[in-house]
Amino acid sequence: MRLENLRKHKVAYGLILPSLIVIIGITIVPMLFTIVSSFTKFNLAERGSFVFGGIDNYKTLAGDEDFFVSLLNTCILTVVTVPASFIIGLSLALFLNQNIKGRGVFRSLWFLPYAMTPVITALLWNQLLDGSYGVFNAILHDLGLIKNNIQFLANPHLTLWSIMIVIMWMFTPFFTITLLAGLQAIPPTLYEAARMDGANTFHVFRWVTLPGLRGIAVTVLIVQTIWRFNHFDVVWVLTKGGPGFASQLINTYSYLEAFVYYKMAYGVTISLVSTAIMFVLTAVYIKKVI
Amino acid sequence: MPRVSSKNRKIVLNATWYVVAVVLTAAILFPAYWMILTSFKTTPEILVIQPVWIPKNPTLDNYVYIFSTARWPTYAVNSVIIASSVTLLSIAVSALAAYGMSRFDFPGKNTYSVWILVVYMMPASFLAFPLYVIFSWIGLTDTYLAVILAEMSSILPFIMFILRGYFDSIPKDLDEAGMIDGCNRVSALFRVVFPVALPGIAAAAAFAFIASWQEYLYVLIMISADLKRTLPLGAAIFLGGKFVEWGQMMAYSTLTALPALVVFAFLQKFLVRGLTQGAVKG
Repeated sequence: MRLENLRKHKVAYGLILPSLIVIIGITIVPMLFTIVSSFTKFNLAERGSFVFGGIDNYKTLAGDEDFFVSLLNTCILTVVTVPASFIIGLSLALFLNQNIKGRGVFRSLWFLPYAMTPVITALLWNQLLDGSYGVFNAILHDLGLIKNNIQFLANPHLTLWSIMIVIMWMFTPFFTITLLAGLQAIPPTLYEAARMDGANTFHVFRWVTLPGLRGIAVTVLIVQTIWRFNHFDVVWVLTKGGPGFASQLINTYSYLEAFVYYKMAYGVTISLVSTAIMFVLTAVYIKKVI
Repeated sequence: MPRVSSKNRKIVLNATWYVVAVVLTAAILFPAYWMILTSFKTTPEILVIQPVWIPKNPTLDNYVYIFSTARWPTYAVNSVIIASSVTLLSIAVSALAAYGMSRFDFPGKNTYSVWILVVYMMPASFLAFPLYVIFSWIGLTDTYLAVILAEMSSILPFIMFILRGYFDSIPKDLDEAGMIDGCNRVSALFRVVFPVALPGIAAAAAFAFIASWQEYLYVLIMISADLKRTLPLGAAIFLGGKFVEWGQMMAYSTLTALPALVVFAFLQKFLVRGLTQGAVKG
C-alpha cells in the first residue's frame, strides 16, 4: 500500500525530495548526534573521549548554578524585550500609518537598525557604551547628569540591561515595519463602519485595529520570542557573557562550554535541555493564545 | 462654529507630525550617525571626554587600514561567495518544496510542515555543534561548504516557511489555466506560476542573502583560518586586544553595514510583502 501511495503522489514527493534530503542531512543527523553525545564524555581536546558516560552530564547540569543563571538571563531578556519592542513598534507603526506625504522616507530610515548586521551593531554599541570613552557617558557628562562615568557593560548590575537596550534598538524596527504592513492591510471600510456606529478613537482601536492585527501580531511575537531565546551574536561580541555570568545566555553558555572549554558533550547537553524547555514553554504559550 | 478652519488644522497637525518624525529619526539613527562620524576621526579625537561632533582633522586613514592590513576585501569576497551559495541553494530547494506543499496533498505533508517549523525553532548550538564535529571527522572544517550547510540549517526552514505561505496566496486557478493550455503540473509550475511568484521569490532571496551575510556563530564554529573568514567574523578581531582601535572599527563597520543596508533599502517593499503574505496565511 505504501508503494501505491508513492506512485500516486510521485510529483509531490519529487518536488519535496531535495528539501527532504537537505533537512534530513542537516537536522535529523545532527539532532541524533546531539542526543547521543549528551550521554558521552566527549571532549574536543581529549582523544578517544567519545565513550559512554551515562547521565553524568545531566547530573552536572542539574547542579550547575551557571546554567540556571544563564537560563534566567535569557528569560529576562525575552520577557522584557519582546513585549517592550512590540509596544514601541506598534506605537511607531500607528504613527507612520497617517496619510502624510513623505512618510515612506521615515519608514525606510527607521528600518536601519534592523538592517545593520548584529555583530556590527555590537561593535558600534561597544563604543557608545564604553566606560571611559563612550559617547553616551560623554553626553551625560555634558548635560551635567552624572559626575562619574557609568560602566554600562562592566558593571554587572547594568550589563544585562544595557544589552537589552541594544537588542531593542536592533529589533524594534522589525515590529514597526511588519505591524505597519498589518495596519495597512485592514480595510478602511471597517473603520468607516465603526465610526458610523458612533465609535470613538479608543473603541476603533480596541475593536477594529487590534483584531485586524491579530494574525500578523501573533506570528511576529512568536518569531521574535524564538530569536530572543536563541540569541548569541550581540552578547558574545559585547561581553562574552560577562562580567562573570552577568549577561550569559544559554546559547553563549553552551558555546563557551563546547568550544572554549572543549567540553562538547556538556555543551550539547546544555543546548538539548534548554531547547526542550523552550519547546515546552512555546507549546504552553501557543495553547493559551490559540 | 470651528474657530480654526479645518484646512489650517490639517497644516498644524501635519507640521507637528513632521517635527515628531524628525526627532524620532534623530534618536533612532544617532548610533549609526556616530558610527560613520567616528570612522573619519583620528584617535586623538576619539579618546576624548568631550564628544567631538565635527572632526577638525577628518581622515581616510581608517578606511585605508581596513582595506589593506585588515583584509576587509578578502572577508567581503568570502561573505559574498557564501551568501550567494546559501541563497541559490535555499531558493532552489525551497521553491520546489513550497510549490509541492502548496498545491498537493500527500501523506506526511502535515508532519513535514510541523517539522520545518520545529527545526526553525532550534538554537544554532543544537544543530551546528554536532555538524562541526561530523565535519571535523571528515575533514570538512575550514571550508565554504561547511559554512554553507551549517547556515542552511537555520535559513532553509525560514525560507520554506515564507515561500509556502507565499505560494498559498497565489490562486490555484492560475495552475489550472496553464494546464488547460497544455502544460502538465510541473511545466505549469515553471511557465505560469513562477513568473507570477517572482516578487515573493525575490523577497525570499533577499532575506536569505542578508541572513547569511549577517551570520556569525556558524562561521565562528566552522572556520579558524583567517583567510576564510567572513565579514562578521573578521569584525570581532577588533575587540580582541587590550586596546581598541575605534576609528578603524567604525570604518570596518560602516563598510560592512552598507551592502545589507542597500539591499534592504531597495527591496523593502518586497520584503514586507513577502513576510506578511506568509504570516497572514500561516
